[in-house]
Amino acid sequence: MATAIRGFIDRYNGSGKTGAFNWFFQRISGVVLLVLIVGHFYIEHFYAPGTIPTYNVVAGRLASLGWKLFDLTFVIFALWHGINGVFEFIDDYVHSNGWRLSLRALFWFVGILYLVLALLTILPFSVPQGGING
Amino acid sequence: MAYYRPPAKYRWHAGFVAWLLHRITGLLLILYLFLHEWLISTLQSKSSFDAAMAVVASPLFKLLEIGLWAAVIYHAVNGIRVVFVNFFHAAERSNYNINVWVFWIIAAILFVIGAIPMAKGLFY
Repeated sequence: MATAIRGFIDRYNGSGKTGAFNWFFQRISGVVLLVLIVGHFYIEHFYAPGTIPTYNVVAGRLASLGWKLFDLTFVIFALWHGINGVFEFIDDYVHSNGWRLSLRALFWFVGILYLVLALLTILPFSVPQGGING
Repeated sequence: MAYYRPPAKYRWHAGFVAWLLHRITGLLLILYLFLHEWLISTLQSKSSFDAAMAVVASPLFKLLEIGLWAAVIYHAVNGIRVVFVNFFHAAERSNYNINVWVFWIIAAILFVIGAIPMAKGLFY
């Protein structure tokens, strides 16, 4: 039993595997995020400088399938890239097995929680009666 | 579990500083993403979203937004440099320190270009 648990810990606790996929996909997701953040920053931060997006504007945008897909892709890649980056921190600076496992489990939990939050936030929007400006 | 302890000491050359800043901005950006998504989840209702937006409409948050832009642009530009180092021979000794400076200059230019409209927005 103890051996099985130890095997499980070693297998899913970094270092036990090469981490090559995570390393490679960190680059891929980074390049994808680079493309997406240009659109995101332009629309949300530069389009109307000095103004704050109103509910109607954001709701109108999120009613369209295209923006839903854009924002969902963005948030999924950002969460993966960011949390994989946190895992790199854990690999480099946390050496106790118990802490490594706890922190990895914590960030898996946080990541899934935020993915669900993103789905709950983005998906419900549809075009309201009276048009998107109503 | 055994782990690898680097035998060398860190030296403050350009590549190390670039890597260190990449780590720091990366950590700031994931923390920002958690706060950002939590704030945007107020879209569940119009009143809660407008209340949240009223908080971030203050000049302090607009100033912080310029800081966010700095972190984003540094992490993005240095991230491209990392890809070049990994896949396009940018790590060769003859040009390594030069490429760090080139990417820093690109990042600085892009930061200024984006920061100007944001700074103007401070006075709306």
